[in-house]
This record gives sequence, C-alpha cells and structure tokens, in this order.
Amino acid sequence: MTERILVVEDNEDNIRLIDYLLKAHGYAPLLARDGGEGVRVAIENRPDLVLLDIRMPGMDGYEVAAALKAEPGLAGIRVVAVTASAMVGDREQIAAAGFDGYIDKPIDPETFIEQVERWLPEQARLQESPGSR
Amino acid sequence: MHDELFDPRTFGSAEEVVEFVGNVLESSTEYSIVATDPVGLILLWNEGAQRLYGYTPAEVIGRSWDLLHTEQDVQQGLPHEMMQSALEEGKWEGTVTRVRKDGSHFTARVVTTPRRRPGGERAGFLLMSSDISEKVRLNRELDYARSVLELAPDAMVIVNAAGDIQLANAATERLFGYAREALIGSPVEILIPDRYQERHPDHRAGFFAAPQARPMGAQLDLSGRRKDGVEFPIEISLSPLETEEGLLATAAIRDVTERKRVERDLSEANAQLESASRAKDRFLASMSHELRTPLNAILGFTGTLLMGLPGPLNDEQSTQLRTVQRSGRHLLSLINDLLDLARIESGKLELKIESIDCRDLLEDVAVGLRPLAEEKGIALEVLDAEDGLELSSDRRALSQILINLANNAIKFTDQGSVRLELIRQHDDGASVTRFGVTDTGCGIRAEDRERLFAAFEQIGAPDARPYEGTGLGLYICQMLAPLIGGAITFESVLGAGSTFALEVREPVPR
Repeated sequence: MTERILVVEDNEDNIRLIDYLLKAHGYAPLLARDGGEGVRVAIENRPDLVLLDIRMPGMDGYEVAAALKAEPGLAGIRVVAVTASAMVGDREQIAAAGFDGYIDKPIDPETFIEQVERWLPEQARLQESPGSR
Repeated sequence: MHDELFDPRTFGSAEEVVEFVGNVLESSTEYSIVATDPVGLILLWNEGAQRLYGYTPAEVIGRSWDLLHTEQDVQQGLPHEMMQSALEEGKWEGTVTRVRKDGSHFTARVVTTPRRRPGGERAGFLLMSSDISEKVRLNRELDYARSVLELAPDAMVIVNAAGDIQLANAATERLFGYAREALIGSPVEILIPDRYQERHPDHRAGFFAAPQARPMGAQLDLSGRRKDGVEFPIEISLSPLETEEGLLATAAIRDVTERKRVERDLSEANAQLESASRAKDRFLASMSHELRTPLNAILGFTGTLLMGLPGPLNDEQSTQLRTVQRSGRHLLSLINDLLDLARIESGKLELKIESIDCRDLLEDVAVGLRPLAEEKGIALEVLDAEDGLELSSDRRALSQILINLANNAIKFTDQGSVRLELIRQHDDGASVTRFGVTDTGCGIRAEDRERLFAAFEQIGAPDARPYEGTGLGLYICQMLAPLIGGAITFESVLGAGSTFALEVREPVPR
C-alpha cells in the first residue's frame, strides 16, 4: 500500500525533494528519471498516482500522459502534472492532454502532501501526515 | 488686269466673267468674302459671310467693317492697321478674333487685299476669312495630348499589327536607352529579352485577334531589355487603338524594379520579425521553466528544514533559513512579474472572455490574501459589494490586477484595515464596474504620484522604510487594465490611506 505513487522527474534536486517529502509523510514513491522509464515503471508496478514533470528531454510529460492513459492495464490511473511551466495556455493544454490535475512548481513543502493526497484513492491515503498544517 | 485668270478664250465676254465670279462668290459657303470701299464700308457680303457672321447682306451693306472686329481690336486700331499694311505690302494675313451678330466670338484666319480700279485707283479692300476655332481647339488638344504622352512616367509605345513601333515617348527612350529614331519603325521585340522573343509574335497576334484593354501577363514576372542588354522587371497594360491606318496596340510599360525591391525587403523584414518573435516565445517558455526550476529545490528544502522534518533547528538556524526563504520567494515573485510583463509586452497574452461573478472573484482575492493580512495584524474585508454583478472579462487578468492592488494595500498598511469594494455606476450610455481597494496605510506623497506606475519604482513611506516587492505590481496592473477595457485610478491622503480602483467600462446594450 505504500508504493502507490510514481514520480517522473528529470531534475535530480527536484526528485530528491519530492522523494524526501513523500517519505517524510510515510509514502515510498517509485522514481523514474525520464519519460520512457516512467512508462515502463508504471506498466510494471501499476501505481495509483503519477506525479509527472512536463518538460523533460526525450519523451515529455504530454507524451507520457498519453501513453499511460492509452495503456489498457492502467485503467483508473491518476496523472498529475508537476511543472514550472507557466506560459499562457499551459494549463489548458495540460487539461486537454488528459491530466487529472496540476501542481505548480516551485512546490510548497507545507501544502504539497495535501495536494498530492487529494488525488490519491481513499484506500491509498495515509493518516493525517506529520508536520503538515 | 487679271488676263491670266480670265482668258477671253475661256470665258468670252465681260458679262460671262461677271457671271462666273458671281457664281464663285455664291458657292463659297465655307469662306466669308467681303468687299469694302477704301474706308471700310461694306459693299459686298457673300453667302459664306452670312453663315459665318450671322448677318444678312441687307443688315451690313453700307456699314463699317468695324462691326466684325472686337471692340478692343477697334480701339487698338487693328482694322486701320490691316488696311494700311494691305496697301503697303499688297496683303495682310493673320489670325484674329471675330464677332458674330449675336455677340459671340470665334477665331478666324483672315486675308485682306486692296482692290484697285483698272486705272490703279484705290477701290477698297477684299476680305476673305474662315472660322478656324475648331482647328485651333484640335491643335490645342493635340498639344496637350503630346505633352501628357511626353511627360508620362511610364514608357508608352504604339505598335502596329506587324509589330513595328509607330510611336514611342520620352520615357521609352529613358527606360530602354534607345533614341527615338532607333525605336520608330523597329520591331517591338528589341525591347524584350531574347528568351521571350520567339513566342512574342504569337502573343501579339492573340491581342490583335481579340483586342481589349488588359494587363499583359497578369501574375507573371515580365522583363524588359535595355539597349545595353540589362534586363529589368516591368508591368505592362495593353489597349487597342482604332485608327484610320487600322488597329494598333498601345502599351504602357512601367519599370517596377524599385517596387520589387521594396516588396522583397519587406518580406525579408517580415520573415526576420517572425523568426525573432518565435525565438522570443521560445526564450520566454524556456526561461519561465529554467528560472523557476532551481527555486523549486531552494524553497523546497528550505521549507522542509523549517518544518523540522530532518530534525530540530536552533533559533539562529531558523532565523537564517527564514531569510533564505524570504529572499527565495522574493526572487520567485520577481521572475513571475518579469515573465508576466514579457508576455503582456509581446502581445502573447491570450484573453479568455467569460462571464464573471464580480463578488465571487473579490471574495476569492480576499481569501487568498487574508493570511498575509492576518500576519500583519490588519483586517482584509469585502465591504459594500453588490451581489449578482456580472462582467464579461478575462478572469486571470482581472484577478491579477485585483491581487496586485490588494497585495500592495496590505504591504503599505501597518495598522487598520484593507477594504475591498464593488459598485456599478452608469455613465453616458456605459456601465462602469468599479473594484475599489482602500487602505488605512501611509498614503502617497504628491511628489511621488508620477512615479507610482513606473516599472521598478517603489514608493516608500515618508520614513523611507523599505518594503518587500518587485516594484512591478502597479506597472503590470497599468499594462493589463486596458486589455480588459479597464483603467486604474487612485486617490490618496498622506498619512491616512489610499484608494486604488479598477474601473471597467462596458457599453450598455440598448
């Protein structure tokens, strides 16, 4: 039950931060450092939630989201964009690409877990997380 | 006298001569023939004179011929002068203005000769005149036409069905470098580049088969060839010309070298602009990502440390980390403002116009900023807001303006409150929705008001204590407001507070 979140992110500092925050709240996320790896890990492990960076070299977040949503074995998977892009139309494009949600970067460590848990199915959610307000 | 004219072998008796001359006078209807006595009294008035001047013989016989002249000519002594020089030189000939019976004038060619009796005694004068008004007019028109042709900036060439140049104007000489003598009679193909020469006679035959005015080779790039072989881009319009010698073709040829060059420069400049604009878009997109990515780790790990997740901090560590956090957030808002500004200035801001509930929007702004106000111990309230007011606008732009205004108000207010108000007024056929933000802060000095909306200006309190912020907030509001049909206004009392308002004007449908 504790390995239900997959983080796909190419920046090493960011992946450490997200991994640290999730672990500090009791989750043990799967990590993938590029889009292709993200798709493979998702198909093998069938997580409940994918936190997906948009701008990545190679397969970008839009392509990964499309691949995940098209995968029959991953029906019901939630895909949330975590991105620092803030150009006009980005949000609309993200919604149109089939993402379930959107978390702005820079992420706010104090509210990050709340935002993540909003997208977790009831049974995958942990008790009130420590340290958050 | 007149033996050579009236040979008795031809005419016989004097009576027959008189008869013959009488017939000549009668039948000369195009020429006015008038005889006078030595002082100019009219003795003879033929049919032509009657037609030309309008008088019957009975009306003029015995009167002075002065009545045929204009008053001005008579005053200047022209009739006398004509008689005098006819006597001295045997003939006066010239072009004069004549007066008809009805007072109208015409231009006449006049010949005046003296008449003498067989003994040489002066018998008077003979005047022959004809109306040349029409000829004068035609000559003048021809002169005008010739001037127009010569002054025309386009080369004008007239060509016959065989392709020989019949006429070429001065511009043709200038444009093609041939002297006119070399052009007239030459085949028009000398003006055409070699590669088109073979097909040209067919085109010409086509025109003469279906002669109508048209641009030649519309949509095609045509070229002319100068005498020195240099080619240049041209435009031609063709017109048929009906003449007594048959159908001719008139070609007006324009050198479009300059226009082509301008067109090319323009399209190159446009391509450069587009590529620069695309580069700028890419730069903006990549900067918004690249600048904020490192801040994610800076603010993120500062946050986890301050939350005590890796372990407890001592007071000094907390204080220092809060400084890092504050600076990081400041840097983030600077970056966001700069990106906003770049977007607005590049015209890349796409507005999404929708119906917005104004009070809801104002409440959202208040909810978002209330923690900031509470941190400073001041109240942030929505007051006097009318319910149910809707506005067609872009939600993002509208919120951004109101957030900036309210954020400023909180920033510059140390005690008291910030009030958000909403009111709609009607003014001159328009409805004006006014979002007001009133604070009880330090107010704005008169001398600072001009700088208020300038980029990177931060107007401090009178005690000059520095405030947080980028100095771009009001500047961005000022840029955004017109995009949604709005304007920013403000009033301020130093030491008592300020009111900033966004007023959005909408025409009222009738």
